[in-house]
Amino acid sequence: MTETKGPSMSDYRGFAQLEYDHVRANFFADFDWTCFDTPSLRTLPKRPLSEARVALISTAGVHLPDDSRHAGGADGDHTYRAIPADAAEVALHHGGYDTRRARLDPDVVFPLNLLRELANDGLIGDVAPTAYGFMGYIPHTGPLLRETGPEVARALIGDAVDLALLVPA
Amino acid sequence: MLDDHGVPTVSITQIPEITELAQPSLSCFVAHPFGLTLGNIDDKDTQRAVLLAVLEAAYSDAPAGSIVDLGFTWELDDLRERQLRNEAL
Repeated sequence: MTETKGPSMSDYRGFAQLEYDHVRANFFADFDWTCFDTPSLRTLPKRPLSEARVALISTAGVHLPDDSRHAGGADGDHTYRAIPADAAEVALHHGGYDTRRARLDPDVVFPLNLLRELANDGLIGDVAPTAYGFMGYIPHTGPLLRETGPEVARALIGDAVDLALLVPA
Repeated sequence: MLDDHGVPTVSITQIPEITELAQPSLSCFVAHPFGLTLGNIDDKDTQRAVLLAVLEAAYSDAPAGSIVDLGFTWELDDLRERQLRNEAL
């Protein structure tokens, strides 16, 4: 996985170009996508799905109701919020999508309840004890790649997670 | 990135052209609107079907960097189309 600079301006395809233009015009004049010239390593989970411990990682701006929301400014937010797998309630704040729908049914972007159901039905082993909530607008990716991402990776390894499920909003 | 630290991952993507830039190890394309990634509010059948399909894909032999189209589309309204024109959140 090698981080590279993206294509020169206006080289992006489809919505990638539209969003690039939108962010630069409205939020962050120097915004560019962080691109990689090779894919992340792919490894298979060590245990079959029916025995696997699955962790949920979301970029929907999810957090516990009594925890702080992610920063909503032009610089974005690379931090995360830890959410216990047995959380009865979550809150959602994110400027990039209409969170009213997800507040009615968090499973649409943060399927923690659904994962618990799959565990109860024996379709997965269990749900990792902690889920992680990021907020998807992260124009400064360096701190995510160097700090909070590896921090979450270490926590997942400590929790003996077999598979991490990444869900955008 | 988590994979490079030893944690197998599977991701959902709603925008393959952005995912192509980041090149995660394995992504599953679900053509749902932003904010309704798994499906519509209270549509538990679709949400569960998406979730299971994504988790099962994590056990496929797709090469690193693959974006697998799971075939889920959005027929309820034009929300996704409007979002992709930046005309709706």
